[in-house]
Amino acid sequence: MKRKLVISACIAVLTLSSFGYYVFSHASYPEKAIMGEWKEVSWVYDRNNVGEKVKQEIDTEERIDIANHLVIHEFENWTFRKDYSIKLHERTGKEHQAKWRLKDRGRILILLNDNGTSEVYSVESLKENELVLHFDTDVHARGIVKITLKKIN
Amino acid sequence: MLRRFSNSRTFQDNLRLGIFTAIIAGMVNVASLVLFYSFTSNLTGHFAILAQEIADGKWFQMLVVLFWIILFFSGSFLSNNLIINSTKRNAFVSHSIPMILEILCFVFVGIYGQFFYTETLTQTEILVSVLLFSMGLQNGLTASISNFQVKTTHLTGLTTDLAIHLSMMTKKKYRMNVEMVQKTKLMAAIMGSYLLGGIFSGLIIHYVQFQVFYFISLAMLGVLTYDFAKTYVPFFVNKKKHETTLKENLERIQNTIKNKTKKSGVFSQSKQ
Repeated sequence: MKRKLVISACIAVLTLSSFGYYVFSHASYPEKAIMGEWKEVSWVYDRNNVGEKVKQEIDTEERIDIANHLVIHEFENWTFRKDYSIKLHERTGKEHQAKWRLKDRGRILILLNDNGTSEVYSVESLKENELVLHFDTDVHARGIVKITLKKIN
Repeated sequence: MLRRFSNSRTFQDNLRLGIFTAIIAGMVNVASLVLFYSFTSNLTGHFAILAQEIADGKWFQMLVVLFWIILFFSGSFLSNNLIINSTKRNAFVSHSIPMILEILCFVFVGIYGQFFYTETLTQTEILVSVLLFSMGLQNGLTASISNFQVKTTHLTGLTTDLAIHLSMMTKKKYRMNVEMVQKTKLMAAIMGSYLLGGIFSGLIIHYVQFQVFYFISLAMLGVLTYDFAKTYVPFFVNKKKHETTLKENLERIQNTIKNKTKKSGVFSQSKQ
């Protein structure tokens, strides 16, 4: 009886460990998928005005208003590197370096700035060529902004 | 707190167990939320996410969530298995093993987090797995030894039960029911303790980061030691007392026999 119990326990531990190993050897998939250069294609409010059917685009001036506490509003190109550094840049040559981290199975993107501040974005979707991020603003009723990026490199 | 099992437990036993383990669960959940952006003491959300991942066809992410759920399940399974296979003699040891395993999990997360964690996704997911396993162990332990009276890692069911009990308290006949009043007190205490543990963890986590898991481990070790002392010290004291009494009784009997032999010896000599 005792021998049977020990054997069953060993099999259970072995199966669980193998499953865990298999799962975690593929767990970094979102980290691999996010690497590369992305270009912002749109900024929209996630909620529409009454009677509107199309999402309202957020123009450059408004971006400064709602996201002036975030570095991202100044840049349109995001380059995620393998060493967990990110380069936010413009064609004019202006750029910002930070660190990136993914949490919660790739559903949370964190940008860690050199001055110790961090910015948290919710990864709404991460596909081969499209990345959709959400972030919360102080604009209460229409708080969530949806940023869509396309992979260019 | 851990010695008695099922129906032999008193209300006070369950209350102490509930308060202590709810504080631990609250602390762990807030710590994991701040450090890993994931809940580790409840599974309802994970089940919802699992369903969503299946619907979206994200298979590897689905497997991660499934693995988390299986680990929580395994923790509870292991706890209960240890308890049902224990005998009266080794009850304390069997009840302590899940807690010792839980402490080991916390120490591992603390040490790994403090010295080796580079915040990669895989590391985060492995540490969350360890915490979910430990919470499964704790929930299995508390539920098993308290005859399902105490469950401390998730509050959905508890909130519902408390609401039902409180609504029943509006009737006098239920207010007179001691068992019902005790159950309500127990649930309210668990809820308050969970919240307190969470607040405490939230207040200190930014200063101590992963070291919060050392505090939790120390507190659990303290409780284990206290329970050990409560279980075994009276046993040894009683054993000593028992042995002394036994010795005294034995000496008394021996003396009586000796005296009797002496008397009967004198009698037989005088007869000759």
